[in-house]
Amino acid sequence: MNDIVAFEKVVKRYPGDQTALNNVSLRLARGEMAFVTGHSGAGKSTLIKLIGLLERPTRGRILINGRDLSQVKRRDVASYRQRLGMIFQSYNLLHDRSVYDNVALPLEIRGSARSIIDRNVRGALSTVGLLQYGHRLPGVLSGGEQQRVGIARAVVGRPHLLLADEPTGNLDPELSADIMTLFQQLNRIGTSVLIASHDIALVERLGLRRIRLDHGQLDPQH
Amino acid sequence: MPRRRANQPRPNRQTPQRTVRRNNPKATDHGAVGRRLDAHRRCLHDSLRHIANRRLASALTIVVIGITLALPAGLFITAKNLAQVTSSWQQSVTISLYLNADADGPSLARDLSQQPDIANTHFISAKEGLAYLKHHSQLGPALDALGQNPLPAVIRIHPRSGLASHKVQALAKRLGNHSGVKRARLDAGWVRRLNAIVNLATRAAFVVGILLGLAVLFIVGNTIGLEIENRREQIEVMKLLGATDAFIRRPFIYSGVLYGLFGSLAGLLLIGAAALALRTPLGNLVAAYNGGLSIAGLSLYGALILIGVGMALGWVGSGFAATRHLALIEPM
Repeated sequence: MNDIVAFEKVVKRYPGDQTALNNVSLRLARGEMAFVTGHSGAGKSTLIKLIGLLERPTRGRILINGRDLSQVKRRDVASYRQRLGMIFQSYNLLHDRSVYDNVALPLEIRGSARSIIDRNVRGALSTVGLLQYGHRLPGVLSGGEQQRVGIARAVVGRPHLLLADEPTGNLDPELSADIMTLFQQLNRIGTSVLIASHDIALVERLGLRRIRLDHGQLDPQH
Repeated sequence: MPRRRANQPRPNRQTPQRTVRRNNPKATDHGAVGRRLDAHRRCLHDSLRHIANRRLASALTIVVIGITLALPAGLFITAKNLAQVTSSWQQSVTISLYLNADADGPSLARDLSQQPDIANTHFISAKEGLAYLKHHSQLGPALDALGQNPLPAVIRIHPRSGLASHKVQALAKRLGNHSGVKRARLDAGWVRRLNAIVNLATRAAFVVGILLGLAVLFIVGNTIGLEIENRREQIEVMKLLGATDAFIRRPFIYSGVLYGLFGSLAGLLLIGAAALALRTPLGNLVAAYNGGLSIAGLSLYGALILIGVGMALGWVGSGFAATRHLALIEPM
């Protein structure tokens, strides 16, 4: 069992009989980095949400690190999410907390010791090149810097899987390339990365595996 | 240093130096208990910061809680003082025993004074009674015209201090059946009525206390509910990062307890201000009773109870509200 993500004939329907994913089967190997691409409404975000347990599949099975997500009870969802790193298009930072405190939050949630929090937060901020901005509020940073903070927050707990939903959606091409380089660096140190993106040009430039979705179905050539 | 925009939230006042100091591992790590205490300290700090950031709204909530707690506390103080007043008046209640003509009054008065429920007795002979009546009324000539003394000898009995009203009545009934006693009379109807009023006031204070306690629960619950709604996005983000409801709820419960604490302190201030405003008229009232009455305020024990009740209501109200609201928030 070397897959970190495995979808087995997954169907997701929303009320009103709107099918977001239809019979999707895919695998992501441990330590692999891949993109989920497709036009708007293709089912990219739904796929990410299913892995993050923000949604449950209508049918089919999802295995993360060998664990069947249908077995994860509601009360265990929080501890499951603590082992994931999630990055969002809108950064989702807490604007009344400093950059340092934003990045420290996942470790505070886990109840980590302060020495570990301090070491890991400094490490994560250093990785994204924002160590000197620790005391600032996110609101005074640029979009690219805010996304770096989001990435630092996602990796500070050393997750086995990093999920990103349109992480460069609000950034210009240059900053987008920087962010992708950062993901590649994180992948090189062993983190599995799955990124949903509609920026085909950016994805093609990197030359990594693409999982193409079209109207909720996998493109056979993926 | 970048300037804060007008619509930006107030920053977490944490300078880099403080961050470094706060995160000095040698100074702060004390195992699981230390981590737990540290998490609670952070929650308390966050809650205080949120209350301070919303100065006007927080102040209004605190004042409303203060008034709501001060009202029943004031009623309790009033009832307590009334009870004290009636207790002092209770001591002026006497039982008059009208004796048969052949009874040995002085000996009976001595015997009765040995009883535990009786503080003292005073024997008034028929002759002394007649002299008193003649002296204090205009009936002298009429009494002289009767030729003989119509008045019986009387023993006036003062019950033991602090004897309950129903026990005084039982004592009067028992003494009325004593040999040599023709009739016993207890003139305490007005005291009974006053006691009933005091009991009613005490019960009313209790009922009002419960109702206003419920009101505090709703005030705190509503305030915390609004705070949760205002911070819905933050809560969604925290849930995305794997925060449990208990983790997210903790600072809101701290806020509820702090609202209760500050509200009860505001209530104490209001009670103090009311006492100050009533001091002169109450002083005049006390003076009218030749200084025999003293007005009691809220004791230290009472103040601590009020603070404890305020904090407990804040805890319960915020706990219910946070649990209910957080269950409805799920990240999208």
